[in-house]
This record gives sequence, structure tokens and C-alpha cells, in this order.
Amino acid sequence: MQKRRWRRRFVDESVLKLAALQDIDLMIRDRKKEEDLGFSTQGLATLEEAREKLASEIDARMLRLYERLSARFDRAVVPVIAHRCLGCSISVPTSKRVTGEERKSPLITCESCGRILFFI
Amino acid sequence: MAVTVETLLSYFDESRFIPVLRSTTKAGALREIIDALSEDSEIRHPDILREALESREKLGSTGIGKEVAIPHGRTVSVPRLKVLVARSKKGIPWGAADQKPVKLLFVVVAPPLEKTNEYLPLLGMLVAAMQEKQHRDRVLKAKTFADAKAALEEALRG
Repeated sequence: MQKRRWRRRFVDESVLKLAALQDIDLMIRDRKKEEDLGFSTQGLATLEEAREKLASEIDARMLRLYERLSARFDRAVVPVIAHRCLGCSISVPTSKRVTGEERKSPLITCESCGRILFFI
Repeated sequence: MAVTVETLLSYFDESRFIPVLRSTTKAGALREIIDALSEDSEIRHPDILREALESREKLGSTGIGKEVAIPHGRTVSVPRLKVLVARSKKGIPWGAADQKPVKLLFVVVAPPLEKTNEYLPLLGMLVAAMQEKQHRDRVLKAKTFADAKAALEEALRG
């Protein structure tokens, strides 16, 4: 199969870590539903340890923002698809649609809902 | 909302079918699976995807027994639900409760926000469909993707 080539969007390392952290938080939150389907979730302590390790690698200010948003919304980090914030469906202004390494600030948040934007 | 068999089958695509995994270890198999999923131009952050699948295995083995595993996870790095099917001839130790090496894998990844709400029902359908040995054997022995998909359809319809 021929490898597809695409232009990889630049996404700050901190946003990638917050995205990974959210994925883990979702797993922990949804574990009861998965148990009902017959999946094992006995490694919760191991996963929580991994979660804390990842959280320790994230800038404290960004982590606080993530946790504040997580307390308010189901998803603190949301993708931007078709120029829309998938948290609130508001169109993301052109000035925020960065495609290269010209971005100055590591975190970009939605002007409407405040969620952290993840440019896919 | 119930997921129909037709909907579930629509997620099976030859571009996400690994007829024979080369690796005989769990870590190696997950790497092959991530590489295959990364061929999809919609998946632009394979590292996040890899983290999600590896983290899920930390929570507990996704081996459901009877030589089947269903690695899965919700991750923001995937814009829509995707399913990959992979097979292993020798079997891969997966930490399943029955200790049997895994020969058939269904990898299910979905975004955290999912309007259709198909992720969990789809997982449940796969778990149920793979309980019968004859169904598992047919998918494992299928010579082509089309045959594997037909076998899976039969399994899903019971």
C-alpha cells in the first residue's frame, strides 16, 4: 500500500499531552460501562499512576486550566474540524487557524466556550 | 440508539485489515496496528493514538478470552469511529483472563465527542459476536478480506 503523505499540522507538545491526559481521564470515567460489557478494568491503580506521571510533565498553569475546564465540561480539549470548535460548534476565526510553526502561544482556546482547541 | 449490523459492517474496510500480524508480542502488535491506522490521512497524531491504546491496556487487558482481543479507546486524535481487524497465526500473549494467546483482534477507536453514540454498542456487538467458535474460526480462516467480512456479518447476525 502506498503511504499517504499529508502535511502534518503543528500542534504544541503541551496540547498533545493534555489530549493524552484527557483520553486517560475518559477511560477512568467510562470504566464501569466497559466492565458491564465484560472488559477488565483491574489495572485502575496502574493507569492512575500513569495519569499522574503525565500530569507532572505538563506546565502547572496549563494543567490548572485543563482541570477547571474538565470540572465544567465533559471534554476540556476538543478538536477543530471544518473550522468549527467541536465543543460548541462555533466557527473558529481565521487568525486562530494556524497551520505552521508561526504560533506564539502554546494553547489556543475557543473564544465562545473556552475549551482548549486541538487542531487535527 | 441501537447500532445495526449494516452500520457496524460499514466500518470494516480493506485498508484497515491486517491479514497476518508479523509481531508475536503485544507491544509489537500494537505498533503494527498504529502504523496501519496511521495510513489513514484523518489520523494525524499517531503518538496520541498509541498512548490511548497503550493506556487502555494498563487499565486492563482488552483480551476477552477465546483468542480474541478488542483493543479500544476514545481519543481526540481520531475524528470519527474507526475499526481495524488484524489476525495472528501464532497467537500473541495479551494477558487475557483465560491466558490464551490472541489470534483475532478488532481495534476500535472513536472520538470523545460522538453524535451517533455508536462506540460502546459496537464494542458490545463485537464481544457478543465472537463468543461462538465457528464464527471466530471462519474469520480467522478467511482467505480474503471479502470472505472475512462475510464471516463477520454472519457472526453479527447470529
